[in-house]
Amino acid sequence: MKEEFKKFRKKILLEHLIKALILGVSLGAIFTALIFGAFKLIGIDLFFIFYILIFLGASAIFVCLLYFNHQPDEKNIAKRLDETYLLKEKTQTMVEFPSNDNEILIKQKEDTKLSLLNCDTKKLPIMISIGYYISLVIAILIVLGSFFIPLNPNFPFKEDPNSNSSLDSSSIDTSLVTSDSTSIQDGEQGSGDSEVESGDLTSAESGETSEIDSGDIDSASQNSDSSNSIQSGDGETQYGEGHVFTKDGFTELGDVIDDYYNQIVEGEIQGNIPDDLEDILDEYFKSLYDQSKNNEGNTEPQNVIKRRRQ
Amino acid sequence: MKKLEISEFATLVKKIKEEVNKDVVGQEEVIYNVIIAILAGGNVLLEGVPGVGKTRLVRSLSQTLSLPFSRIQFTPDLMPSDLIGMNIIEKDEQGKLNTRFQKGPIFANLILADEINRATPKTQSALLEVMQEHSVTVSNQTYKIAEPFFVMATENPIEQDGTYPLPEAQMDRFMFKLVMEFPSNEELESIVNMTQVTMDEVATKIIDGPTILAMRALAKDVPVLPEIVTYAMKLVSSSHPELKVTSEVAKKYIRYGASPRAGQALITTAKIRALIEGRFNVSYEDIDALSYPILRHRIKINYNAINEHLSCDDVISLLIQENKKGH
Repeated sequence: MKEEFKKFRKKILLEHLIKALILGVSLGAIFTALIFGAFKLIGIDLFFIFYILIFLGASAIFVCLLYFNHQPDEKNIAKRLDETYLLKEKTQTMVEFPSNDNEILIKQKEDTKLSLLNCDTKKLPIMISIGYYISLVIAILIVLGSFFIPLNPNFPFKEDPNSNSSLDSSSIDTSLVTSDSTSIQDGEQGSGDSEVESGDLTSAESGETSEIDSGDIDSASQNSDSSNSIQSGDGETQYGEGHVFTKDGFTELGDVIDDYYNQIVEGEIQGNIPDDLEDILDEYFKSLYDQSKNNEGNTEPQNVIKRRRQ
Repeated sequence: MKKLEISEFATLVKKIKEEVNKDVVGQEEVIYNVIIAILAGGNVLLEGVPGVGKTRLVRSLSQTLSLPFSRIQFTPDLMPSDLIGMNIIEKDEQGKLNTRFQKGPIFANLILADEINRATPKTQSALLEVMQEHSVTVSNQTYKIAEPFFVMATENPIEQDGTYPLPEAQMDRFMFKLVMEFPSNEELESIVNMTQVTMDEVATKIIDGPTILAMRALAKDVPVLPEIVTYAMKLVSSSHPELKVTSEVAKKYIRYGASPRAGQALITTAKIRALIEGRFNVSYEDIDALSYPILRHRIKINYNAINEHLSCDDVISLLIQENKKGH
């Protein structure tokens, strides 16, 4: 570095650092926003501190790269000085022709040194072109835009219907009605409405908490002329041996379960089987299993259980 | 060759200007550019209405530069031999007939070709060799002309009857085309007052031929940034509408562009201008300032420019602006 430049070098390097900071931070922000957006698209929701760390790391790398790789050399400084102090290409010529081959070159150097001596460093402004500010604004816009990318709930676990979703069980407006049921408690006939209200349920497989508003599941015990009815644990719900009563009428309970299972697999219903419904079904299957064991030959409930477990 | 101190360069030019200004009132820019052309070894075409001091300027310069001066009045019947000379037959002392080359008025250092466009193209063409090579060829014999050699031609922009416009090849041999504007009222007053005392030129000798050559040699060492050379060449090539590297201005307003001689002239004269301005390096400013006298007779504007009332200088300004954006 030429002696004549030393007093200007500090200020020009400071300007270069500011430029590198603006551009580096902009690039770091854009990089972080891209990662943030990509993670959201694939359904990964990380702690915000993680993104702040990515931003700080990326910005630091970009700033260092820009600062050290594009440091102004003698020619750049000379050009800047000529433009700022209107030196009419004196400094650039001095840098371009370093030799002292003839008298004119020697005179040229002397003249330039004299001109630079008269230049005040305070009059050398820190010039940041509009492009740097534009890059910063673009980076801010990209970062803000990334917040509007919706978190994809399905992408990584689409095959598993039991994960990361909520189910509004009120959509299942099924009235389980015991028909021709075998009562566990012999002699007792289940009749009347059973109202089950679920609270917050936890999906054990996904490890996440999902809030389920189960609504009302009305188990209307109708047409309970059969003595073989099953009563739920709370004693309010009764259901029969192999049939349910829905809005559409009497249906095989196995078919209802199959339809429900298929809907989950095909994604028409997202989420877990509500616990209350699961309890009812478990109890029902258990009773049928016991019954079939007693009867020895009726294997249908086991098949249903097996299918459900798959 | 005579050795000259760099510090003397600007001082001498300043003195020449002062001396010429004793005879020519105003016309500062023309005088300044004529001195640049002389020091660069170029020829000058002076254009102006009658009476603005074209001939007086050249006569005054010849006195200041103390150079042999020839004034040739160009007329339609002027022949090439009237300019360059001819072989004549003469008897020697023994009565034997011999041919001898009789030098014409062109054999001087400073030539004033007054109203050059009045001579026929044949006579105008006789100047081509002498203007470019500074030599004359007659009957297979080439005669060198003493340096420094300059041709200063004048032409009248108004009176075009019975004139022969200079061909492009001839125009290109003039380094500068300078336009002498009509003087202002104050200048007119000064001219009238000055000529009441004497009509003769009063300028005195400042420099001589060898000093001019030394100044020219000195100017050659002035450093020029490669970027400035590129800029000058770009300015020239962008004046050609048919080239790929052309400019929007050329496409729109120029019929044909400047020759490579314009590029040479830009750099050569820029060095001299830099020294006159007290700098030891060429600046973009020198190129821009000299673009007008160098390009104005080398580029031909088209009908679009005429239609939009743009002069050649206006088009050159646009060319400079467009090229400035790029660098």
